[in-house]
Amino acid sequence: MDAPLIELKHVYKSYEQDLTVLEDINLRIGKGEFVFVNGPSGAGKTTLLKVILCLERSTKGEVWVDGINLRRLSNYKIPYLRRRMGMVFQDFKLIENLTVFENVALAMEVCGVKKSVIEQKVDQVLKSLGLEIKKRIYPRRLSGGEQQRVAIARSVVNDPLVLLADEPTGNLDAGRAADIMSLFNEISARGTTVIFATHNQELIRSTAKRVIVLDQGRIVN
Amino acid sequence: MRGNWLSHLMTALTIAFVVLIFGLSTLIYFNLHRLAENYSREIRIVTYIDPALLPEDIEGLKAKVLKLRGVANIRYITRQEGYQRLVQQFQDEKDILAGLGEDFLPPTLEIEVTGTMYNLGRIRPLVSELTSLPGITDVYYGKEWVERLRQAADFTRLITFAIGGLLLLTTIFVVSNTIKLTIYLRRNELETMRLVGATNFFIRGPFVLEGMLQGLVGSGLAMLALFALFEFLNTQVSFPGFIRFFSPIFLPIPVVTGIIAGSIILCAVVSAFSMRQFLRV
Repeated sequence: MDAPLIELKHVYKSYEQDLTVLEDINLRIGKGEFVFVNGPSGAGKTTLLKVILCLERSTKGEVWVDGINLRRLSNYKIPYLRRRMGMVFQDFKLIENLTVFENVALAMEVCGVKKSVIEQKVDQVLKSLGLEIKKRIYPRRLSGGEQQRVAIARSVVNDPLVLLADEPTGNLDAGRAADIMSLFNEISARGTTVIFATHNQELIRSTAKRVIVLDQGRIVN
Repeated sequence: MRGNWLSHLMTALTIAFVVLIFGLSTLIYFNLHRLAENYSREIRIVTYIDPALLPEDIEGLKAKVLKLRGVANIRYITRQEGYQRLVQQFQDEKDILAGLGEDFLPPTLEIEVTGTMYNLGRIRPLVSELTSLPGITDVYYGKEWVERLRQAADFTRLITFAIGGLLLLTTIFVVSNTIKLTIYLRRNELETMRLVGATNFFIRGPFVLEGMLQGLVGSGLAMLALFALFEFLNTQVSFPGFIRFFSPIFLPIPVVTGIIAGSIILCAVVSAFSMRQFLRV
């Protein structure tokens, strides 16, 4: 494998002395790779993604993202790292009082992109996800599948290096889940590294991707 | 600001109320200061001089008095001049002075003091210095008036500072609580902003602007209300006694601007600080 895009070396994450959520995680994920993170609830999947996105700092060990050691990354640089990553959640995390267009545009606005560029790029992304006719609608008027597509649009609009997904199909029925899955495959095919956390075995079996299995905070496969 | 306009309105009104109280006490202090200044300009210390002093001794005494701190000017009144003044004052009742010789009054030194009410506290030590000078037999000044003016000025200044402190604490409390409430109401939105890579500056900006707007609206309303109250009192209420000839004025524009600018800055700083806890990575 070439130099990995993401590398975790002996990573531990504890909240209190007795509560260790991640334990001795060693992991290398290459550029453009699609990786599933699988495991039961409470296995540490979400914490692993949060550590990579720097929403949580590891208690011990090193986390490297695109050559950056996150342990040494100062707080004020963290937002700039996050702009190079996208994240999709089970509960979508859309802003209720912003339209579909505004929700997606927010990811570019925080980067200080010019308005004209934002309009063009957001329209393009919404069109590619079949959401162009919903752009003026507020999230609560969309179905779960549509809301998740908006969240995906927001996460890819800045062309991130990595897309982190935390149970993105968890709130969707099987048909919608398959649609979302195919979207992730398309994004991966364009060269984006995808880390997809799910406890859905069926979804994993439907593809032949690399799977990392977590149990009680440890990688078990 | 969407969604919780009521809390913003309440904050602005609370700020308005506190700034109004502060403005009112500043206005009272400001006018009392002017009143005291007017009166303190009139303050004269009169010293009686030993009639036996020779002219050269009097010149020496005048030089000594002029050197004392707080003395602006002196005027020597001879016995004859003093008598003529009395004659002028009692033009219609000349009988009062009948039988009194032109030299029944001792010669006097009239002393003008420097500065304004800020120097009122200096008068008492000056009087004791004058009393101790050889050749001066007695010293008179409006002791009660001077003391009262000085006490009133000190008291109002104290009240103004106390209300200023109260303003500071209340604004910090109210604005910081409103910001915390707003953060709570918008926590999902703010979390999403952090997730997509918004900097603290980007997140904090709107809150600081909201704080500044609250400061501007609150203090602006307070100044308008204060002006209305001042105009009402000035036109409807007739002041008693000695104040009748004193016309109060409203706070000057630089003071009003200072109060508004101070409120805006205070609210902005409190807003920025209230977010610190939330903005940890």
